[in-house]
Amino acid sequence: MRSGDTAGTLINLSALPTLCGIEDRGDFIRVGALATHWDVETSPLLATRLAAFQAAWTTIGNVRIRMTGTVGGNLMAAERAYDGPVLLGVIGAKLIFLTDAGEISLPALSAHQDYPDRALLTAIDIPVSMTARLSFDRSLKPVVSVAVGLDGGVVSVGVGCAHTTPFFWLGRIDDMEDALSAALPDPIDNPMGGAAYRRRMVGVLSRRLVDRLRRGDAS
Amino acid sequence: MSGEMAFVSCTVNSVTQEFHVRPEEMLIDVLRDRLALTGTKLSCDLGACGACTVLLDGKPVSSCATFAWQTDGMNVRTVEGLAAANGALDPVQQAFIENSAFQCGYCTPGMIMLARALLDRDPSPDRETIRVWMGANICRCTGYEMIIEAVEKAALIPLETGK
Repeated sequence: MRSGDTAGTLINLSALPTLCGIEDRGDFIRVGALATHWDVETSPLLATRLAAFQAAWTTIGNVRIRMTGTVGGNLMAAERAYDGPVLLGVIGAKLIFLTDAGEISLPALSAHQDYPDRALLTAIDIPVSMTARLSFDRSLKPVVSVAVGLDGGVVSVGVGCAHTTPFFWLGRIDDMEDALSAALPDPIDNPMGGAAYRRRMVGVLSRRLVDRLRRGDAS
Repeated sequence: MSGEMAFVSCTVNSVTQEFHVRPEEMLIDVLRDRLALTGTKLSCDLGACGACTVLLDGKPVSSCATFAWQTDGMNVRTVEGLAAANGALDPVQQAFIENSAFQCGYCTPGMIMLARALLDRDPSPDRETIRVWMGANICRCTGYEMIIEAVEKAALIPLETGK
């Protein structure tokens, strides 16, 4: 903006209080699109019901960013290095959009591939499960980040930073290493990180996170 | 907003300010160019480094990444607004001086505002809390140890002096 860009129309969404807040809806938690990262970090409700998600989300940005940046902004910015889509995808969250045709719900793990036109993201619904667990490793950002969800013998792996959009893989935990490697598209290859290195690290981090979850470690 | 000017009424360092801004005008430009509050520094221009940190209703924000119209009805506090009316420095400012917590000084106003926001929330933070919180801003001179120690010291000043 300071370099001379102008916007045809700017709409102040902060004037819409219905987009804020974090609510208990029983078997899921509804996070308003305008909830800030700080709201997530300090929510007593999330601390009680989605503690692993809250801990993982708290690693996003820094305090200055978290106090201003919103969950919805993280998603709709569609930046490949952002962690929001990866985390929400592996825990089965749904994105709620208001469209000309009414409200629609899209799985977080695929919504980023084709956000609906003329739509406003209003909320994110995060399922609450007694059995599902989450672990996340962003220590190699911006080369690669990996989130793993584990529910029984089913594992979901989300890979951020390594491709132009997040990559997700779901399958049986016993098959994970070979099947994930086979399904993983060729990662980005640039001076920041080679494709082979990124591919290798996806395998290392996902295996490490699964081991951590099996041991019962928190995220 | 669609190209027209937006009317903004806010307080900056406890003084009411009213102005019209373009939709794309950023807070740092209003502070520096219109109000001559040049203590707030522009550096990365991406909201990443924190040199331009000011407090918006007490929250630390990047003024280079905050639209000026977003301050309507809010309280903006810059480094110029920290000292008391009698000129006494804020404990954070005093501690930064006593601890030599700067080299080139360019990041210092942002660091001080970030530290003030922390101490307003948590008057007695432990070192790890300070370290994590202050990690939001970047010092190119890498004087982090002295900055962290200054914030630790600033947290003690009100207890010692009763200021």
